[in-house]
Amino acid sequence: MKRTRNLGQLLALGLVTLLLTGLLAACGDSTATTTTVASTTAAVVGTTAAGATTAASAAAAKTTTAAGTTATGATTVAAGTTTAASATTVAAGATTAASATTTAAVAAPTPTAVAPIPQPAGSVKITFWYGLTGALGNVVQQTVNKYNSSQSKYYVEAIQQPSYDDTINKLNTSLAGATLPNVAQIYDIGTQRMIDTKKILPVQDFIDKEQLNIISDLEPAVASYYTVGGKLYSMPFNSSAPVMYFDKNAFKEVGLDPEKKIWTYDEVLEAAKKLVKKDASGKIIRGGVDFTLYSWIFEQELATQGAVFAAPDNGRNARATNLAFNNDAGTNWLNFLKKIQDDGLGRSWGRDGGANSSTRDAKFVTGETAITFNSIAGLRGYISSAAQAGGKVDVGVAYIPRPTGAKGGVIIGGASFWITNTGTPEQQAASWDFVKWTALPEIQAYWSSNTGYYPIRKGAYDVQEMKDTLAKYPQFNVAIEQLRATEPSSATQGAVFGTFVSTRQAIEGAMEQFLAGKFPTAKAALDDAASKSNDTLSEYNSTVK
Amino acid sequence: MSLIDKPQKETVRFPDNRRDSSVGEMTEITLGLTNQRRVAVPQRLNPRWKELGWALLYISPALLIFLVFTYFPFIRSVWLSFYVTTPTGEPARFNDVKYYSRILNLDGSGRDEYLKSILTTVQFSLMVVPLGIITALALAVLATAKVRIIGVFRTIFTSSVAISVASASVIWSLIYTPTIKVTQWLVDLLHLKSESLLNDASTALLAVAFMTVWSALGFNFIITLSGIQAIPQDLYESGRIDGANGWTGFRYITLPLLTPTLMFLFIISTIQCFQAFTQFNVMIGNEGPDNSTNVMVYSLFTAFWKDNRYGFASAISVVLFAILIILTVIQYRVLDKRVHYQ
Repeated sequence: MKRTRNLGQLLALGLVTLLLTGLLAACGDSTATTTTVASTTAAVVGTTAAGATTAASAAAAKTTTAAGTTATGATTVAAGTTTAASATTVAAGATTAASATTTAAVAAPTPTAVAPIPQPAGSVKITFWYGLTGALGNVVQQTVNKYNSSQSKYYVEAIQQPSYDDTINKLNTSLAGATLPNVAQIYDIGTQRMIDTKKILPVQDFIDKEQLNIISDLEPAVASYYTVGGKLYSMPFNSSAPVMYFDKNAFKEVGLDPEKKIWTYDEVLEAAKKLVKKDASGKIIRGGVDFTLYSWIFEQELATQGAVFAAPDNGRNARATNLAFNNDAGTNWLNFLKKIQDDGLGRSWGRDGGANSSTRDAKFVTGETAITFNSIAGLRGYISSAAQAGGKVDVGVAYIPRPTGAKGGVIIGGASFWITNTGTPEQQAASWDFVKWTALPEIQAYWSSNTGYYPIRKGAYDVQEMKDTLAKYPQFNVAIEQLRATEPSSATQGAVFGTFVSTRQAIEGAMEQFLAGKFPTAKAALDDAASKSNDTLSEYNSTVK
Repeated sequence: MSLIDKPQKETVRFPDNRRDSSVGEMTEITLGLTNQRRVAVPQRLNPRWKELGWALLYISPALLIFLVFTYFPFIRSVWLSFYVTTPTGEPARFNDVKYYSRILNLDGSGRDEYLKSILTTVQFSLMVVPLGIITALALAVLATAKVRIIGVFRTIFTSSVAISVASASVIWSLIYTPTIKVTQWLVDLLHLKSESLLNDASTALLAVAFMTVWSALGFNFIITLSGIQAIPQDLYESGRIDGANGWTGFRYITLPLLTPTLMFLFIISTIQCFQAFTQFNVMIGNEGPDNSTNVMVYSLFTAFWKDNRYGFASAISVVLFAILIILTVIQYRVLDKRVHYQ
């Protein structure tokens, strides 16, 4: 009697344990080798190696129970993560056995940090904050090391911040304490906020003082982004623009031209109809066009159609007072995405960032997505991951799509170097010397070749290192062409205003709600986002002079 | 019960009665110590004040930390919540109670996202708290089974306590990734329009709640198990004589005597749910599909870090504080009557 009760209890315990561990184990049973691409676009939010290890352990007589779950979670792995685990759970009668073949949690090697070189005696030290992490952060440190060893008068101490967001937030909180860095790498959308700190020495002033002939050699689209009110405020460093990525093999398979660069919305929809593949139940197994909901691409589509994002003139001549993205250009893009989803031509992976971006990238490099949109800085990651995933995908690059008749054009994204008015005149001179040096064609060629960003100097293309890179990645040329074909206007210059981060969130929320059918029209969704954003912007404007 | 109750209540009162005499002793000692300075100290200084001075001196290290890191920020938050701030966080102009009326949707703007975020938080708590306590209770009862390797099971049930919420969130967001079979199966089963449980307005909050229950399970389990183990065995023995076995024993002995523990868990879990942030930030990273996971602390985070409206963020935190205070008082008042203290 007692023995049977004990046995019953043990069984119950075993079942509950199985439920707990089995869940994790079974979840590891991934359909495909999931390759997460190092997405270099924005700061990559922690992708992780987590392995559910299940080990079978024998317990009491006649009863075998699966036990033991170890799950490790590291919070940030900047590069790529591959999780492939398969587990089988068999339950038969009173005997439960779990056999687990486990965890090929193949984490791409986390790049080891690059050590800074020591400060030479007698040199003037300046501090430099940067927001790039992982492999990109290492290249920044290497670039700084190059500068420090190229001369001995000045010394740059590079301090890494967790992200772009953190860099500007920390800078803002440091304003009161006067512990500002001498130079800071700030993202594109922080431009107005940086100007509003009133602690900035515009690089234009330094250029004018030395009568340097540098602006004419800057990539025009890049220079115009960082020019506000006719003044170049910061020195661009890493610049990128979005492109349409596609699988050339899939295009050839369905008879589409893999060399065509410019696509209209209608042409993309037609192509997607041919590219999409579904299983017997009607579920998409290869998306014609799969995408994340990404405000940055939305902004680009506005520029492509020559529409401004904020009024007046994207804040380029006078402070932007209200947001204007709830226009026809905006609704065109939203309707285009909704049509893809509703007609079953592709899938939305949700709002951009974190796991959703990883899903988009993983599906693209494994051939489960034929077309997607991302920054050109992601090209190398895609090519190497596609090769790793079996080489089924031949990565092609085209211009971002546009409605029929739109003239096209992209806005530059990325980050630039800002010089603050902190420190001694000598330190300020050192800051300018460093910033000027980073804009040298050779340095830009080095930077571009090692990362995948555009060089900001036209002269960089004459450097042999850059020529070799372009020969290796011919797709990059399409992105350069797209950038050069952009007509300068306030629309393609991009918007500057103080509450960009908040507005991006509002737009992505509106896109998500519209695709989920919460708003009857795209216009209504964008109107809602605009009213939310205007509320924040007018409050911001009222607190700065 | 009342027999056990009475002497205890008296012992509670005991120190109260004795305090006066001890105060006298203390004062005498202190007076003796400060005898030399007595001339400088005015005679009419109440010894009670003096006692307070000593008390303050003794607690000053702790008090200082609390003042700097808790009370000052708290008071400043309340103060800031009535101001519009500059991008650097300095008050720019007085804003009256406009932020509060916006949060509670009383300003006629029709923007109810903050009110909805309070409701989302309540919804989240309703999902997590009961489920969390019931699972912990069930596991704890199971873990009292008298089998030889019970320690192994207890360790397994407790293991989630060793995993921080941040790591657990990362693990679970991987589980919820559309490339995972179980997730695909669930998505198909529920006929979701989205590709992931976290991207669908109808399942996102539930998915996070499930992860939260899992993550809190280890802690809840330990507390409940220790509560059960603290129940004297003789009660069960005498119960068994009266025929209280299995379910009856659980219902009439375990459960009533466990109520103090369960109430503690109930209050702690509710507060934790209202303050939940990490899992939302790691697993979702925005307000969620159709604002469905925009809990209060996340909307506070957005107001502070994304919108840079420090006054607004402060106002949300004050509202959160008020809600938690009210909830805790209610829980104490209502539940205390139903709790059996042995």
